[in-house]
Parts: sequence; C-alpha cells; structure tokens
Amino acid sequence: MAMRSQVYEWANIVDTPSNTSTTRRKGGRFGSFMSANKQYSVFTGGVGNNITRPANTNATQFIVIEDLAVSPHLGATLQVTINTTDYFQTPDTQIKYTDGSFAGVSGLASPYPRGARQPGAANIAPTSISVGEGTAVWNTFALYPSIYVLPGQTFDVKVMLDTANGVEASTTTGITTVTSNASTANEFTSTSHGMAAGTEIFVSSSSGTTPQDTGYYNVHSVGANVFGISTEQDATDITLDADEEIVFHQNGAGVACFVKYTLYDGPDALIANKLLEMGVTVNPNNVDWYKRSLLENGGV
Amino acid sequence: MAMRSQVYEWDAGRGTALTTVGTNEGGSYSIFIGGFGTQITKPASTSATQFIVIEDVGVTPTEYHGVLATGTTIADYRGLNGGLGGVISGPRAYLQVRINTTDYFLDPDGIGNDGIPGTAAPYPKTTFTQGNFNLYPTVYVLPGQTFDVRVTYYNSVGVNTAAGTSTVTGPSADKGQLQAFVKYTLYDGPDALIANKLLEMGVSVNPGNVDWYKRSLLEGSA
Repeated sequence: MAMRSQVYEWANIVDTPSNTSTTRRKGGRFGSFMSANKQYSVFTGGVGNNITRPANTNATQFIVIEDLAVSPHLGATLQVTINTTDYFQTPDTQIKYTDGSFAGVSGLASPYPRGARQPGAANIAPTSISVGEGTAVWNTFALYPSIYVLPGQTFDVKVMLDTANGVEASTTTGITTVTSNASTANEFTSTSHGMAAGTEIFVSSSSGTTPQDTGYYNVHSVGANVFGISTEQDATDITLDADEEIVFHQNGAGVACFVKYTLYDGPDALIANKLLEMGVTVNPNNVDWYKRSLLENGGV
Repeated sequence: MAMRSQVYEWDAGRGTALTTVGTNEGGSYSIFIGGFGTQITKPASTSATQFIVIEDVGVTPTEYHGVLATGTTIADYRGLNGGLGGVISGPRAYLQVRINTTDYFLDPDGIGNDGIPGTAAPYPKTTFTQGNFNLYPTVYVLPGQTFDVRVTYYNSVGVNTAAGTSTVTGPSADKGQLQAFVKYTLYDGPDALIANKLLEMGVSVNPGNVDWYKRSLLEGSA
C-alpha cells in the first residue's frame, strides 16, 4: 500500500440551502452560491464538501498530481497552489487576467465529467436541461508533466467561476417575500415576488393559512396577486394565499471538480525523492524500476 | 486456469432491492454482503493460495448540470434519473475499496473518504461518460486477506424517479439506476506464488509479468 491511486471530488452541492458547506458529503442537491472571479479552495473553501484541514504531505509522503478536471460551464477554471505559489500563470507571469479572472485550467480544456455537455457559451450555464444534451466535451488538456508535492509541503486546488452562480440566499432572495402585512410590504401584489417562473426554490419555512412543507418547489406562475408553485414532478399549482409567508432559497447550477493523484508513502516516498534528484519522472513504473535496480545491485 | 479475469456487477435494483432510497442516502453498503441488490454468500476473501489484483472499478455516474432550474421534468437525462431542478442527475455515487479494515481511498487530510466518484469512473461507459480515472497502480489483495467494495450514494432522486419529491423518501431502487462494477484478476496456486514473488521484486503484478517470470524460470532450468 506504499503507492496509492487517490481521487478527490468536490461539488458545490449541499444538503440544505442554509448550509454552504459540509465536512464530507451529505444528501441533498442544492447548488451553493459562488461569486464571480473568486477562488474557492476545494478542500477548505467553505463551499460544498470540504475536509478538516488544508491538504499537505508529511515528512514521509510524496504526492504527484496527475489529472485535474472541472465542469465546463460558467467559465470554471482550476488552479493548483503549492505552499503559496500558484502553478498556472499567464504568459506575463501573473495569476490573473486583466478582466479580473484567474489563470488556470478551464473546464472546456479538461472537463469533468469527460463527455459533459457543451454550454452555449464558455461563460454561461446551458439555458435549459435539453440544450446541448447531444454534445460532449472531451479533454484537450493533459496534465503532463504532472505536479509534484514534496514532503512537508501544503497544497491546494482552487476553483473559480467567471460568472456568478445562483443567488446568495442569506442576503437577497433567501428572505420572506410574501408577507401578510398589506400596509407595508405585501409583495403578494407585486408582479415578480423576486422570482421568475421556472425557478427552482427551496422553501425552508412557511406560515399562513396553508403552510407549505419544507422542501424543493418550482415557481410556475408569478404576477400581481398570483403566486403559484408546485412540488417537484407535480404540474399542479399550489396557489399561495395572500397571507402566506415563505422563506426560500434559489438554487444555483451544479459545479464539480476532480483531482487525481498518486500518494507515495514511506520507502516509496524516499525513492520518489531520489528519482526527483536523478531527474527521472516520478511515476509508479519508475519507482518499481528503481526498486528492482536496488535489488539487482544488492544481489538479492 | 491459474490466472482468471473476473468481473462482479452489482445492481441495487436486483435481488433484495435497496428500499427507502431516501432514508438510506449517505450510508456505505457492501456490494457483496450489504443486504441490498446483487449479493454473495460470504465476505470476499483470498485463500492462502490466491492473490487478487483489482484492476478497474466503476459505478453509475452523475451529471452536475450547468443549468439553473427551468421547471421542466428531467426524469431521464442521458439515462440518469434527476427529478426536477436540474442541478444533478444520477445517484451521486462513490465506490470505496476496503482491504481487511482499511479503506483504500483517502482524502488529503488522511481520513477515509467515500471513494471513487462514478462521474470519474463511470459504469457503464458511454459516449457522454468516458471517465477521468483509471485505477493505476492497481489494488492488491494478498493471500489470506478479506476485501470489500462499498457503495455510497447521496441523491436518492437519481436512484428512483418516484423519489423525486420534496421529501426525498422514496421506494425501492430502479434496476439500472445504481450499479457498480469490479474487474479483477484472480491468481491461483503456483501463479499466486509467482505474484507474491513479483511483489517482493517490485514488479507490477499482471498477467504479462507472471508469464515473463515463468518464462525466466523455464529458460533458467533449460
């Protein structure tokens, strides 16, 4: 078990909309909000599934990152940081472009999954579930040479979108929108209620004449004095009453990334270091070759 | 028959089908003796004269949609159940290999994780799901060890269409919606001894190298 093929998958999917991240995964399928042009650590970034501490190697470990991939929509890119140094740079040795987006491997070049559908444009999400269903994005990028994380180093993988994803629930739409107070803020009579028809929402609490269950709903009809929602897979509208109050969160798109690496531990990490000194590529074949050389030279 | 290519396919909808898929989200289930789907009679293990190399694993993939919800039904997207919403389709399933009591796949903080995502190692592979992952180096199960392959899923909506309600407590798994696949080579008898020898020598254990070692022995004695 001294050389192990390892994977790490991150997604912005969380169990409830009020929860932007979890240690390890939980059920649920709510796409967390992500700002545009902001890098989120896939390990400790506070969005989606995270781990308990920053990723690092100890004195007897050596990691080789062999593949990176990210969703090919919303202008997603991945950056690898070793200690404090970003791996991917622009030709002028910067880590940001002049438009504020960060350098890195884009999801169109290294899509996750391979075969993901192609977005209508690089920086947007498909506008409906059927758009691009027959397309498949394959990788034009291979991470070769691979990236070495030497013993004692900290490393990170950061995902960035160049277009905001979803609506930040806690500050904007994740508040009461239909109130019973007609004299001040009865949004029931407004035309949009802050939502558009077709939006999926997660209702986290509800009150009024006929309170709704907590869960996912789809907004079917909106307009002045009209606010119809339906539970999933049910086309029948539930028309909310004028005194109905719901707290809702608007769902964002799903974004995921994938990191494949090989962990060399113990004696194999020492051999990996030796190979590095010798200028030989560190991979399982070469580590095995070095072990065989040792055995042959030792007369075993 | 001393080296045999073997496969094992698990389907949550076969045999004793996985029930109440909503409440079983996040659990880890053995595909051999977990009590759901295709099962065998006892934990998988090797005898003193067997050596197993697990060469490939796969599980039903998941699609992370780059789509803000439209309100249309996506019960079937490229063969994956999704329910409404369009954020993900498929079971969001992972596959972990366990040797004796040790999980093979770890997170970078050293804690055992759910394993390989089906999105990276899909089963089946299609035009749209090619996979980003190959199991190399392979996983060795030495003589006398017990091994297990465990599946975890997080999206019950992807396991049964009827589960796609706001409460996500659904009925049994549909056939074909949560499947796993394991490909391994079983070395038995003298070939298991050779496999052990190759392991000591630092040579990858595969049928080609076992044959090479046998040829070397024959040439040496000729």
